[in-house]
Amino acid sequence: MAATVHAVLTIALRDLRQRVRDRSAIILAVVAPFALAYLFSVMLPGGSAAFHTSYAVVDLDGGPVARSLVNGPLAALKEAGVADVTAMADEAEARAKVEDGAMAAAIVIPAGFSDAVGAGRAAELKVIGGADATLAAGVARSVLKGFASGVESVQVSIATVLVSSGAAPDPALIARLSGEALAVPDPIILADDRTADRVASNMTFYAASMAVLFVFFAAQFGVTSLLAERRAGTLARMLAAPISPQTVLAGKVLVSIVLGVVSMGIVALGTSLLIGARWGDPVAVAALIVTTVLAASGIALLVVGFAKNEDQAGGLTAIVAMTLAVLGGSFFPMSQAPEGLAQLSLFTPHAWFLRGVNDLASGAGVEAVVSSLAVLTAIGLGSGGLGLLRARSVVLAR
Amino acid sequence: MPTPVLDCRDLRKRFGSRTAVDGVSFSVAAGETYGLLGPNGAGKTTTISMICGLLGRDGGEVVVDGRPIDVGSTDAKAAIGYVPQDLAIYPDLSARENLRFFGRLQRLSGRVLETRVGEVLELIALSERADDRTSEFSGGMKRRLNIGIGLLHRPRLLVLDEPTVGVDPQSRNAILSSVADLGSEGLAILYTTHYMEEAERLCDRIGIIDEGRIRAEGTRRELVGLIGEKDRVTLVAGGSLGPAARALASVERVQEATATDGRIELVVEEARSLLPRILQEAAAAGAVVRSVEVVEPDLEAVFLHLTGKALRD
Amino acid sequence: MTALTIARVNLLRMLRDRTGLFFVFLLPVILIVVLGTIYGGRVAPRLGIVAGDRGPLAMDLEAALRSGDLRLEILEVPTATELRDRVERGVLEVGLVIPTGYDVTLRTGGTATITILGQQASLLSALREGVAAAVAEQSARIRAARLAAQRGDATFDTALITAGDIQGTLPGVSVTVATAGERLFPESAGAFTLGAQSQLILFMFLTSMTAATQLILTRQLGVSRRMLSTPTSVATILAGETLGRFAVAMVQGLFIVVLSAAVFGVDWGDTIAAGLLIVAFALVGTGVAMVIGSFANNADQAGTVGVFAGMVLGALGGAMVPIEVFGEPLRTIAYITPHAWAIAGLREVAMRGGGVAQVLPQLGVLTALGVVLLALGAWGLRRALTRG
Repeated sequence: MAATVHAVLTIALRDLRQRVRDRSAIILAVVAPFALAYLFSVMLPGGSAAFHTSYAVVDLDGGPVARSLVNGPLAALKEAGVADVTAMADEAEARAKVEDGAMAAAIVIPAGFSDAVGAGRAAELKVIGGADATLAAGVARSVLKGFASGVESVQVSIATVLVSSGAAPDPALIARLSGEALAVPDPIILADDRTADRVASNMTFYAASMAVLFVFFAAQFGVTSLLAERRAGTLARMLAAPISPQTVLAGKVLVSIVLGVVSMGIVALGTSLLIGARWGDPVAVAALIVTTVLAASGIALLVVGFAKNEDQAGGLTAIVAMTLAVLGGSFFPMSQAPEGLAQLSLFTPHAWFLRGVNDLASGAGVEAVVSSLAVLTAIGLGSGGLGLLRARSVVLAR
Repeated sequence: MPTPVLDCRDLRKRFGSRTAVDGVSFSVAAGETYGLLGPNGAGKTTTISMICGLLGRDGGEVVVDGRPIDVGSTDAKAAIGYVPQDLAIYPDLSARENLRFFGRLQRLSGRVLETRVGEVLELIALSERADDRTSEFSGGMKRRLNIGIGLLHRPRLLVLDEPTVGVDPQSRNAILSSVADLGSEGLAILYTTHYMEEAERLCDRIGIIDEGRIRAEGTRRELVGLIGEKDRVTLVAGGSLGPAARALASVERVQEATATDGRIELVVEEARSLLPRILQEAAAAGAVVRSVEVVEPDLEAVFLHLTGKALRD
Repeated sequence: MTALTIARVNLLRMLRDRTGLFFVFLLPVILIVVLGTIYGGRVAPRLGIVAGDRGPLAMDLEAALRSGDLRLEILEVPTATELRDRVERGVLEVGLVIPTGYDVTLRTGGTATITILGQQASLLSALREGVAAAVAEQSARIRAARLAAQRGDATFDTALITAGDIQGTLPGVSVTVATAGERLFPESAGAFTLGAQSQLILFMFLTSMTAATQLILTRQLGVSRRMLSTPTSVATILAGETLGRFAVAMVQGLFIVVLSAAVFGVDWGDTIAAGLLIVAFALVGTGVAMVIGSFANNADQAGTVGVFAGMVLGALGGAMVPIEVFGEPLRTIAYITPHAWAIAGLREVAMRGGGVAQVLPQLGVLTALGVVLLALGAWGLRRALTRG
């Protein structure tokens, strides 16, 4: 037993020493994921889902109703951090700002707005939306409509009573009704509930997605060297020593796992220290990394079983890694994908790893990622088991 | 002597401060196999590169088949079949595709090209595997293809740069005998090697090259003659050996003849030409010769004599 | 003629490499499909709704949200727990729980509480306005109906219908929306168009990086020297190798263009302008391949570094994420990459109907860069071939 362990370690150490000297391996395992994660996180500063916009407000009216709009809902938008609200004196100026994209939309309160509302006449508010800021224009319109509903609410109540009772619109009655209408309490309350954050920040997402993309390249080095050694004849030489084929395989798999863990570990640590990624609970992250590396090594072993030489194995691994990465959401967050694609992604280790990292974003511990750990381990053991069956023939076949 | 197929005069090449080739001159006639024998780094490949127009030269001239060769002279290169030391074939193409590609570069086309590709595949015994990727070939098969490509366009001069390096003995023998066949068909062959046995076996004339200069040139015999060493002939024989030895000692160019236990040892000048006479004399003196062994002094010794160093480290 | 033979063998070798075929032809198409499926024209935030016991008032509110100003994509979710899970995972931007008994509560004079769930404070506040507007409208009708019922003028239900009719006809305050400026990506652009252009550029460049390693191998195998020993001039070999790499880039480019147009309906715009841009970008790719192929000596390393550099340049040049999303100064820095120029040109042609005249700057930059790189590559290869 001790002799076997010694042999496994000897094989693994020799391989690892060789990899450390191999610049291609270092680029693929460490430099590439780190650099790409950095680049992505720099390119997308605010994050794709964060929303902030800017409005120009042109108050041509200046009356009490207009002021209540500016100081009420519009000021609230600013306070909530949704939008910068800038007052402008001139509609043409505001429109120009919107056209060149400096402002997302302009809100125009026409002259005579307050008077029209007071007299129950038709009044109008205008939104000038930027061509590429449909959401911003929509939000502005909603705010104005909400304000309008409040203004209208009393008018609706009075008109409903008048129509229902058939009474004449006597000014005294209207005055009394408006008092009664205001007294009716709001029947619907809109209550806010912030949910736990289970979406990793942009930095963290790209750090994690690049780490899991490139770990497949890192993990392949260990097991594909089986094919290289078979060609070079050093495999035969190893087997001529008093060690079993299983020992050789174990040594190679160990190399894959070590390389994978080192690769992901460096990326996790590096992105945390240098670009402010927040991976979450270290124990849970470590568990996710180890199980993901297990899955990647298992898949690499399976691929090796199907390859004739190391070039072919390298090519196949690249194909498998890229396909899984695309489907598994390494490039585009699968939360944005339609249902079918999102389901499909759950067949990839990438999706489960990223899901785990997202689950940790709220500060949860290992218990939050149990399902990810289980699936990743199952993928690793399943593909690795099948891979071992095939790889044994690689070792034994002459 | 007829006009040589290859004639090079005073070739010179410097790389920086190092002189790689320092005034090399020699010529190769049709049907002649000329060997450039020298250790690694002697200037063999540089010389060949200049001859094939792959490398500009600092001095001298090269004429192949009556036309001067330089880096720019494309047309004249058609007379040369160059077989580089590296396996210069595309691993991801089949043998046939490799042959076709280089055939087209040699300006063959259409039916002529296809016919030649077929003939060459036959010649290098790869017809069966013609459409397999060369990456799946054994080392020997790749070597054969490497040589075959150089023969496609029926060159007047075949230049072989160490064609047997890293080849197993069996393939090596096959390569050597096919080169010998080509030589006997009238092709002028320039052959570089650092294997003395190959030069001895194949080459009609040999130039010994070291540090960019040809130190000596001639037939194997002439080269050996330079150092004046004699051949040793051993006759394994029965019958009256003593008288036979005495009779042989009196033959012209036999310098020594001693009878020992069941054999007669002779020291002879040019044993090959004298051998019939020796056997005749021995038989006349009553010896029954069962076998003959001739040991000639080798080029290794010549090389050592000329350069003060061994051919191989 | 001989140059064509050399070019042809380059193409043949590309088609022989099965791994290469995946990266040259299949992966770009997969990415175009996945990108198109995920982002295809969908800009609306997703709102999940648990519609209580689906009474008329609850459904009324849902309908109002559906036709609201935010153009939200509304998805019904069966339970509040599932809604919360999906919002937490970011599958839904915002969630709304209409309680069970919503209708009964409102009809019997009670107060109903609708819960709005969200994750990112800012987006939630923005979407909240849209939800609040719809709620306020329903609230106004119910208050009117309650007042009428309270006074005995009509039943609640009758008054509610009356209030709804009145709300629709009341002069009230209307909100009009006008649009200023020009859309960056017109809505007419198909779901796959954005992805197709960036993937085309990303992968043409990556393929050129692979083509560079082929040239290194050709040199190292001694094949180039052997070519030179035939009656083939250095110039012809240069032309052939260059043409070969160019042909590889163009074959891939045309494959992606034709397939994406035929199968996914991607509109590439003016054929001549788009064609010229692709040719110009292929020139750049060829130039880069020739430079690396001539100067680098380790094919393995050049391969790894090349693909890595291709991805970084692609990312920086807006081939993975549109440049418009970048912040400054990256948005300006991006234009040191040929990718940014090529994509800008292709967008101009495909989305704004630009012709050759509109993309002259991009064509100029790409062609100039291509010519400089090609000259450098040719010089390098000539040097490598004749150095000995």
